Amino acid sequence: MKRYIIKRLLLIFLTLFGLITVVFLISRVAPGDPARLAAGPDATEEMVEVMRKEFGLDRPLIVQYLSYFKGLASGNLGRSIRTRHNVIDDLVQFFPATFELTVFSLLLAVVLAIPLGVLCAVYRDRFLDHAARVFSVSGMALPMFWLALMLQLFLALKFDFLPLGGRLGLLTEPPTKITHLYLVDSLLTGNWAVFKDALRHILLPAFVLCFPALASIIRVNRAEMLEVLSRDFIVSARAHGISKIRTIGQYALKNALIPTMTMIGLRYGWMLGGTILVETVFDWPGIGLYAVQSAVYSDFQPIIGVTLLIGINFMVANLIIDLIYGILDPRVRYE
Amino acid sequence: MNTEPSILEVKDLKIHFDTFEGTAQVLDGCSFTLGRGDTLGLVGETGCGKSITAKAILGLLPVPPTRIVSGEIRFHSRDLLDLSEKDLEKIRGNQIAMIFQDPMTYLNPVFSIENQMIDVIRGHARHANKTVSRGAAREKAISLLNAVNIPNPRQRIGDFPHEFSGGMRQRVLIAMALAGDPEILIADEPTTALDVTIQAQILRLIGELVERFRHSVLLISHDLGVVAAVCRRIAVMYAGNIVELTTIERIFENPAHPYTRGLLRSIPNLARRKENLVGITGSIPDFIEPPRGCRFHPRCAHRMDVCQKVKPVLADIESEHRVACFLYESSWPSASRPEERIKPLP
Repeated sequence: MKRYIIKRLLLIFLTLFGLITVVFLISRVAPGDPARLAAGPDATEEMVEVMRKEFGLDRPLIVQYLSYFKGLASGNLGRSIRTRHNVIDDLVQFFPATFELTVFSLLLAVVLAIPLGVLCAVYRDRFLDHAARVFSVSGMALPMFWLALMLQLFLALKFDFLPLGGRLGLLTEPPTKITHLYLVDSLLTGNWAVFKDALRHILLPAFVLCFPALASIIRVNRAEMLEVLSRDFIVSARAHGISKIRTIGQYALKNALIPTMTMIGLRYGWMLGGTILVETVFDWPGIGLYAVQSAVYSDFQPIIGVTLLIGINFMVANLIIDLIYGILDPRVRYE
Repeated sequence: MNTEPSILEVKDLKIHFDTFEGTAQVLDGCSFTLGRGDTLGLVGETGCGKSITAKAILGLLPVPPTRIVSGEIRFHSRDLLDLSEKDLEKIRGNQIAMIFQDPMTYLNPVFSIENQMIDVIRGHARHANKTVSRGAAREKAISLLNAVNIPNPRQRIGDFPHEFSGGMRQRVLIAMALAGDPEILIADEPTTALDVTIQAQILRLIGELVERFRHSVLLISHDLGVVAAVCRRIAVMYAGNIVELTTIERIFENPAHPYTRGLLRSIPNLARRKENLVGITGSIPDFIEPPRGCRFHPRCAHRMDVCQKVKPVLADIESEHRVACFLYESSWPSASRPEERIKPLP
């Protein structure tokens, strides 16, 4: 088990190395001169050159690449031309918002999708199953930005039911920073007003973000449940007098969750990618919004930083999922 | 016939399967009884409706596509077909228990034996409006595993199914079936998936348990030898009908139905030469459009005109020997001869 985790962590490092290389190369061949953009429209040629030197952009590509790794070893991800901060500081500032949104959204998807998937399998081809199918197909098909805009238009603007965007209302003081997750911090400090405000703000972006995940988790869980419910050990559990509810909710579900977990792990990664769009639409101050704003400036150090962070998240999430397999399925051996 | 009062009586059970091609008439009026302490073997080729019958008794058939068209399954004079799912749950495992063909697939792979057995034991207690603590249930599970000769049950109870061999798994399933101290044990091909040596051990175990606990047993097998090892009586099934119902001795000494005779001739025997091993020509009929009259007639060497028109019913040809075949019409007691016993088909 320990050896397995170490092996996986080494593998993560190797993958990140590849990821950085690819993103680094892409960012350097992309058009646009970051030094000029940073120096401003009225800057003279000399000022741009100074800028270029300051950020090390005058050195050969290979030197820049190697020095990036050198920085990385000491936790330095370079400086943002736009914010003039160290990228690592920016990430520390913006990531909690994204993490809160993604995890909340994923939990929402899991909590809704797994029971729905089970019910669809149990009531196969009945009304609920058909309704969930329509819902799932639309979840896959609807573009996220459209759904986001429609929800903003109706739920926020027209009916004033939920706030339009942001993480908290303008007049709300953020809770004492403990985990930097507003929902958790406000709960920890017992600040109910802030908790309610944070919850109201997170609902729309989280729903939009989880919508495609919801759809695919329902489908996978339904298919797995159908498969498991037709297996022999379900018949024998029934023959031994185990009640129907227990057979479905315990005996079948634990088996069906194994493949469903894979989908959940993948979805976490996709959600992190999805935050780029959702955070932009809902003005959510996370790394997605940060990445978009940096991209506009051809400010590639933050983009590499964000990519790296999403990559680490995705890989760690999948490692956790693989470890959960071991809890769900005793036949899994980590070697 | 069996002098002890029957506790299970299956009467004229007809089961249909709805398929895309049409309705398959898989069980076509099957009747038998099982007395207290009785051991009945149900024998027939694969697909003749043996397992369907067993699953129907416990209400385990998936309701569409299966349809129980007519018949009764009386257990202590209650018709199991009329019971609600809740009432059936009280009977399953508690009064009628079942063990299955493939021990590899009938244990849940993701729960330990301990958890599965404790669930079963506590479930039975709950149905009897009693509560059993996990610790007490665990002790009972260990003693059950001991009863089915699992070595070191105390150490092994926490193991998962994949850590047991096939024979051991079947023992675990038998232990689970015994957990509710059932009156009837239905064993659906309990040794088919096992090696011959293990098969003998399991059969001996079932035989011993029957002796010890006085369970009634319904043993389902395609293997006459397996049935002979455990059962006192035997019912031979062909294409959804019971064609012969008698004692084990009679079936080997004096098989009456042409199908039973064919079945016996198909058993390989060291004393007989290879060329004398004859099968039964033809194959199991189509259940969607089964042959009219006797379902065996297309394969029968003794076929008569009447066989193609009228379905024969089970009738006594001597005491404890019932056969559904027109060859024995002359020996039917006059009481069972009236016309209504031979219903012409519509």
